[in-house]
Formats: sequence, C-alpha cells, structure tokens
Amino acid sequence: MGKTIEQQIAELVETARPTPELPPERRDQALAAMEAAGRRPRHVWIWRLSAAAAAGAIVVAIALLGSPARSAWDTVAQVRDRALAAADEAETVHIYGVTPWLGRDVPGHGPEVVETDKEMWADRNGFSRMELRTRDGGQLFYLDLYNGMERVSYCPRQSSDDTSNAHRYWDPEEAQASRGRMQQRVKMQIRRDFSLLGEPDEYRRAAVTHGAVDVLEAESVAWHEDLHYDLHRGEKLRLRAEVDPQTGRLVTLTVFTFNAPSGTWEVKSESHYEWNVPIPGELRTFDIPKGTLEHRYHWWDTRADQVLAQKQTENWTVAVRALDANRSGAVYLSLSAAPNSSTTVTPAESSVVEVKVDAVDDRGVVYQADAEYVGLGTYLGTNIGFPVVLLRPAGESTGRVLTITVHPYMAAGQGQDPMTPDEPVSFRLPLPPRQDCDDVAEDGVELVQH
Amino acid sequence: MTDAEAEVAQARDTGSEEQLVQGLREGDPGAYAQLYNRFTQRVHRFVHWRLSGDSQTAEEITVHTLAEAVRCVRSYDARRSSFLSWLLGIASRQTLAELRRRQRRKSVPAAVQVPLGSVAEEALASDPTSRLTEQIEAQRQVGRLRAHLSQLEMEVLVLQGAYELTAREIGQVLGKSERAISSLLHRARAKARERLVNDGQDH
Repeated sequence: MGKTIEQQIAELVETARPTPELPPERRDQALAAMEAAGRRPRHVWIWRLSAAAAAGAIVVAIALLGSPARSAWDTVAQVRDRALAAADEAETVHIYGVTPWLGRDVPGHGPEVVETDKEMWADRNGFSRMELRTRDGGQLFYLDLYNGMERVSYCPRQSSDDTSNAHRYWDPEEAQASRGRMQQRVKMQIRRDFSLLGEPDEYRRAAVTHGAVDVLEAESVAWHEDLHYDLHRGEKLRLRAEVDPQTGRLVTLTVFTFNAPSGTWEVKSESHYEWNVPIPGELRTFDIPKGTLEHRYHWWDTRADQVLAQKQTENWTVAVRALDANRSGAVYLSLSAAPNSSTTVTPAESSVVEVKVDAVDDRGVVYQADAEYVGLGTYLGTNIGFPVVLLRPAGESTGRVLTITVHPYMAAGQGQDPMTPDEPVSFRLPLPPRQDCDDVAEDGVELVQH
Repeated sequence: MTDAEAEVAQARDTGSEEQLVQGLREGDPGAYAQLYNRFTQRVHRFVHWRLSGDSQTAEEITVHTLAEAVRCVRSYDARRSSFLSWLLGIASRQTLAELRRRQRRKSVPAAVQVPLGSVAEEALASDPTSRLTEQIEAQRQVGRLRAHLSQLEMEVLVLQGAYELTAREIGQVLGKSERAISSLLHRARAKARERLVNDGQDH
C-alpha cells in the first residue's frame, strides 16, 4: 500500500534533519525532574521562601501572639475547603461586590489600581457573565459573557478618540467541557482570595466566631507581590469570611490591607455570594452596541453552517459557504459539494469527491485556484467535509463581482481522472472586502464594524 | 531510542495508558520510567523538528515537557484527548515559548549554528555514500515544501503523518478546533501533493 502524503512528508522531514537519540544522562535528568515535579506541593512558593524567613516568622508569631490554638488554624483550612466543596454542588451563583482593577482599563483613571464594582452570574451548564463598572457613576467598562457556544468580551470606548471593541470567540468545542466552568471560576476566586494570605498554618492570627453566620478572620502578611491587588510583599493583610453554618457556603469574603499611616484596615476586595438564585433571561445574551469594532476569532468554523448560494445539477448539490479575501485580494472560497440522493453515479468503495474551480471577476481578471483539484473526502464514508479553495487573481483586481465555476466530480482515487460527467455550476457573487492579513483561514480573525 | 525500540519498550511496559496516568498521579517512580520509555522519543522528535534541529534545546524542552506532564497530570482528561496528543500539546506550548524567547533575543542559538562541513562529516561517518546525498536531497525538498506551505500546514501534515493523530487530536496539540484542522489538512494535502508532483517532474 502506498504512503499517504502526510507519511511521505513526515519521512522527508525526518530524513532531512534526523532526530538524534537522547543522551543517556538526559534519562536520569528527566526521571529526577519528574520525581521533583511529582513531589512538588501545590503552592510552589513555599519552596521559594527561605528557611530563615520561615523560621523568623514562626518566632515572631509566637512572640507576638503566643502559641495560637491549633484548632483555629485547622478551622481556617476547613472553612476554605468546605466553601470550595459547597461551590461544587451549586446550580447557580450571583457574586457582586468591589474588586481592584488596573486603572489603565478604567475610564477616567491613570495607571494606578482603582476600586471597581463587579458583578458575576454563572450556572453549572457553562453560562457566565461578568461586568465591571466604575464606582463613581457605574459606567460599564468591561463585560465578559460565555453562553456555551461562544465567548464575547466587550470594552466600551473610554474617551472621544477611542473605539469600543468587542472580541468574539467561537468555541463550540469548549461547550463540551463547559459544565463545571462556573465551579472552576468561583473556586478560583475563592482560592485566590484565601491564597493571598498563604497557607493557614502561616497565618499570624485566626479566629472563628459562630453565630447566624460563622465569621472567620485571619491575618497574615502578603507573601508575594500582586499587581492586580496592588499588594507588596510583607504588607499586612486580613481576610474575613462569612459562612452559612448550615451549608458551608460563603456569604461574603472580604480582603483588607493595613494602611500604616492611618493605622486602619481598608477594604481591598469584597464579594457577596448568592447561591442557587434564578438568572434573569436578559443576562444570557449581549447585543454588541452600534459603533463597536468587533474582532471575531475562530470565526472560520462558522463557515460550514452558513450558505451564501446553492445550486443543484443532476448529480450534485453545490453550496458556497463563504467568500473571504486577504490583503492582497486572494479569495478564500469555502464550499461543499455533495452527491444528490438521486444520483445516477455508481461509486466504487474507494471513490472520492473532488472539485475543480475557476473564477473571473467583472473586470476580466482571472482567478486561479492554487491547487489543480481539491478533495472533499471519500464518498462512501462520512468524511465529505467542506474545503477551502484559494483563488489568486492573475493581476490587480478592481472588480466588484466574482463569477465562480465549480466542477464537482467523483474519481476512483485522489487526484485521478473524473469518472463522472462534467457538471459545472456557476455562481456570481460580490467580491468580499479584504481582511488585514495574509492568510484569512489561518489567522482566523475577522473585523466587523457595528 | 528508535521507534522500533520504543515499541519494544512500550510492549515491555505493558500497563495501560489509564494505569500509567494513575501511577503518575500517585507519584509512582515506576510510572515515571514508563512515561520516559513510552513517550520520550516521540516528544523529542516533535520538539526537535519544531526547533529546526536545535538538539540541545530540544533535549531540554523534552525533559521539561515530561516534568510538566507529571506536574499537571491531574488535569489530564482521557475523554478529551489521547495521552500522546495531550503530551504533544505541552511540548508544543513549551516550544512556542522558546521560539518567542528567541524572537525577542533576535539571535540564532549557538546550538543550531552548525557549520555545513560538520553535517557532512556526521553523515559521512555513519554512511560514506548514500546517507549524505539522501539527507541533502530531503533538505532541498523540505525547503521547497516550506516555501510553498505555511508553518501550520507543515505541522498538521507532519503530526498526522508521523503520529497518526486525528484532526481533533492535532487541534488539541496546536490549540485549534477540529474543523479548522480538517480544513487546513485539505488545503495542505493539496498544496503538498502539487509540490511533490512538481518536484518529481523537475527531476
């Protein structure tokens, strides 16, 4: 059996530059690295703290506070772990509060970190919506929505010489994995806030008060710089968590930093949690406002689901799915060609469906396909996909309309002569605007002005 | 280790992929050795190719990929990808990071600044006649293919040809959707076939 084109190329590449064997010492090195990685604790930073600093912190803590009750430390970890576990079981969550944000993204602010209002809705089926607004005036400056098929983020204009931008990611495959996304995001937030203080057994003080809500308070010092929270290593921190004693779910989670000059604790971040509340329907969609420049990513995948034009012959149904042009005017034709159910053609088991394409614009400029024929896959299998035919203009094209002629046919094998009669199908379609990239299909970014 | 030897090693390490993953999650040293025996050569070949033959860095990234796989093995989901494509995905990201670092440095790593003479010596040392000719001819053909195909098109073809990955798995390695890869494969095959046919006619 002959080699496929892919196997031929893989062999060529390997022959051109053979992969040398790994030296034996790399095996030892790899095994040692794997063992170290397997041993590594979740919080890598622990190893980065010097032994002296750790010992010093313990001495200082004991000197200042005496030996704190071990049970309080345990309770901190228990509260965190129970909150994380409770998040796993929730159907929906609504979080609102205050969060720091880099000022350069916030209208009317410089680069310094500023307080902003945040609100987030999510359900366990993969939906999530987050909005950030200025504290002074409630102006929306960032929105992120994922509905299970696509993700949209929106940044409205911040000044008169600015543009509103939206970024749309078509990602239906992600939908398969999106169950549990809410849990991941919420747990990430909870972990993040707790981890600001480091590990519970390194807190300087921890206490739990039981009541209508259990209140946990813990103090520590920041163990790392955090740009988002505008934290500096060594800065004093306090975390206060209010927890539903029945379910273990968080009710509020607040992070404070200590303002040394004034001697007061100031709120850095505050999150209120509402669990299993219904999500208003209007929050599940977002219409990109007029005047916004939309950047579509992975938009190529939507091509297979749309039809610009469709025609039938005796044996074939040919559909143009999309026409796109790169910056030099080369046209990317997405099409499908399927044999009709009433076809008179008798295929062999190995028959393949292929197309040849030629095109000319209304100024007479001929467009040549970059491949003599394009395969759509085997006929008897289910592998008849939609191909992309790259059509390059023979000269500078100033035309507005492109006439495309598609010749679908069946062949006994890839690249072999047609075994069906020529049944050309012509389409007359407006030439698309040029995208600002060399390879439209590969770069996969489309700009749409709303 | 050649592919054939890797197959033998794989046969020797008879545990299933599921057992291997379980072993890695439990920190079993036997699982580390098994991971090395079964997958190192394929990861190394992939990285070596993507780094255009920078052997030293390829070795380092291969080692780093294995360690990273152990570190992240809890996130591996067998329902979403094969273990090999997951591993190649890690290698791909590591390689990409290295290539970006190089772009920032704007210099050619010393390891790939190999004088042509030494390539010839290396080839001649193992086979005085055919191997060097074959290698040079293959390099010419690959050079022509690279001029005709984009980097991504070459990658999808090699990943399918060398590793027999499906479009979905290639997508997982390269961070693209299955449909985008299917479309790329169609185009890449057609362009490569045309190039190879033209090469044949030139001779």
